[in-house]
Amino acid sequence: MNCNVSNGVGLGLRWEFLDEVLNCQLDALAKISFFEISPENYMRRGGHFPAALERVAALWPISTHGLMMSLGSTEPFDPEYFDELRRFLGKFGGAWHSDHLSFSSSDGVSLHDLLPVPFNHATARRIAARIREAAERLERPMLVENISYYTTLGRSELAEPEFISDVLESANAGLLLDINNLDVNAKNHGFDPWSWLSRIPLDRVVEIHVAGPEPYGDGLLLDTHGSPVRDSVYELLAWVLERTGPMPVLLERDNNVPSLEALLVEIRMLASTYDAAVNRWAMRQGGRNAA
Amino acid sequence: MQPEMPSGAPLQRALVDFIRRSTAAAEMRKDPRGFFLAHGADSVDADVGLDETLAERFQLYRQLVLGRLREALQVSIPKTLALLGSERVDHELDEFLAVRGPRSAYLRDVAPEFVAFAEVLWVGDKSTPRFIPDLAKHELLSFEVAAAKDDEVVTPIGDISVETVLSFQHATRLAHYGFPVHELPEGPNEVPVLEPRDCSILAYRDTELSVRYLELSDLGAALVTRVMTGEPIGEATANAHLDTESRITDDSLASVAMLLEDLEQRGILRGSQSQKASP
Repeated sequence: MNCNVSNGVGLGLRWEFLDEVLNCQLDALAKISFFEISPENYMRRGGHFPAALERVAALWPISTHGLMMSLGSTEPFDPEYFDELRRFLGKFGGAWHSDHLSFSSSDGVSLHDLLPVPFNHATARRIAARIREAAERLERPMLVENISYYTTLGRSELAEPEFISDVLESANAGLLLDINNLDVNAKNHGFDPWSWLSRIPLDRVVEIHVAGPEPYGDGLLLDTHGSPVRDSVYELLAWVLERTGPMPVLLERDNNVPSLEALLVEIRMLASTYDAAVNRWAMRQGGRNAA
Repeated sequence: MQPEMPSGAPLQRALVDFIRRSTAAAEMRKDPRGFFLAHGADSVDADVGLDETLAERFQLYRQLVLGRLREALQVSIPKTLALLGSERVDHELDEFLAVRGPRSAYLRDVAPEFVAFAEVLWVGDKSTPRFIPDLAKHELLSFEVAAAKDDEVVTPIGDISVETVLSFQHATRLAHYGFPVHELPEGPNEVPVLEPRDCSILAYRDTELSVRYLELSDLGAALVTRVMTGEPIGEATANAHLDTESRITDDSLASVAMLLEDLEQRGILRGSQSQKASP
């Protein structure tokens, strides 16, 4: 079993093409450095999909990205969920586990969406404590992902980058930087993504996600993971990698899922951007070392 | 003294309440400050409700949540949804979200939660085809069997005697319906006419992990029910005849033997052990 997430470009493993991956010539998938899964889709169940995952995990490193930890909730964690997840990560997981900087449940009701939390100091402290608790329960470091949001809640004491920084520092957690979410938020809320990037702790970025949104009626972009990665995301990705160096970069596609062949074309484009950016990073490192 | 509410909780509750109740939008538009204050927000946070786009964005979240729940139902109970019709499903999903809401954090649990909630509505409504609850349960059964946990240990069946206790494939489920919903064709567009008929369906996974069904006779269903609960074959056979008020004959015993052989060949029986004699 491969248990360490590789640097390079990976693909979110979806049931739409899971069998195709297993039946594909391995050479065709050479540019895929790792696959990422949501454990909740495989936990607490048997049958075809967990069996297929075992076969994938024998060939590629697997990273795990959760959907339902609801780090922003105010209710206690479900210990059964954590026990199950810890067992699952023990079998399939990589060096870390990630989930979202959001909430999805309240008063016992689970809404199955990533809802925004208020950007204030007290919420940052509360979420940081929950991230630390989650890492302890899972016995591995946690990464948290910046979400796309369509509104803020209440009066924001902090701007999003400062809120994220506060959470990460207090929780001593890594950042799963979702550049598509940044791009979508920048367009929807009218802020400068470059300024945003300059205000987050890049040294805490451990993994990157990219995807494509879809337009919505009143000029919004919806984070559906339903289209190819936008040019603006490629530019932001290159900028970040030039400063961070190599790390796992994941392509997510959840809606309008095209053929695996089409996804591989996009993987190759991302790998090209990745290689060029990491080369520039290496040259900068060389220059610094020489100086 | 009331326990202190965690920071952010009032605002998060306001959003959740808005998402869950279709009437919340009108309440918020009528009195945006009051909407947040009613959820415990302080007056500064409540002032953000005055932003006119906020209600639209809250409405967007509500649509996203309903859309996700609808997708989860579509994956699990597509025939039931098609026969109920889009408008009705939307209405019942609205009601489900407002009154009960999904409790499990696993998205695949939404469909059984919804069916458990809506079944009461379907049974109480004369315009709903009477087979709809059975159909929904049958579609859920397929999903449940496909996702059931795998068997950890499979032991050879070996020689079978009247004292043998059989174990079943973990995924096996026995369901009883009042209508033959398992015979409905794929791709339902028109509401079919189904005559009531009691049927017992044994659902299981084949060696390729695909879900298969086996319709059982009354005696077969009674036998399987008892064998699944751990009764030795001899005892289960006698009790199954009593359950179905049928006499034990050479033919009935032959049918029991054939059924057990069939279950073994299909991989439904996964092990056996001889019952130890009582001291």
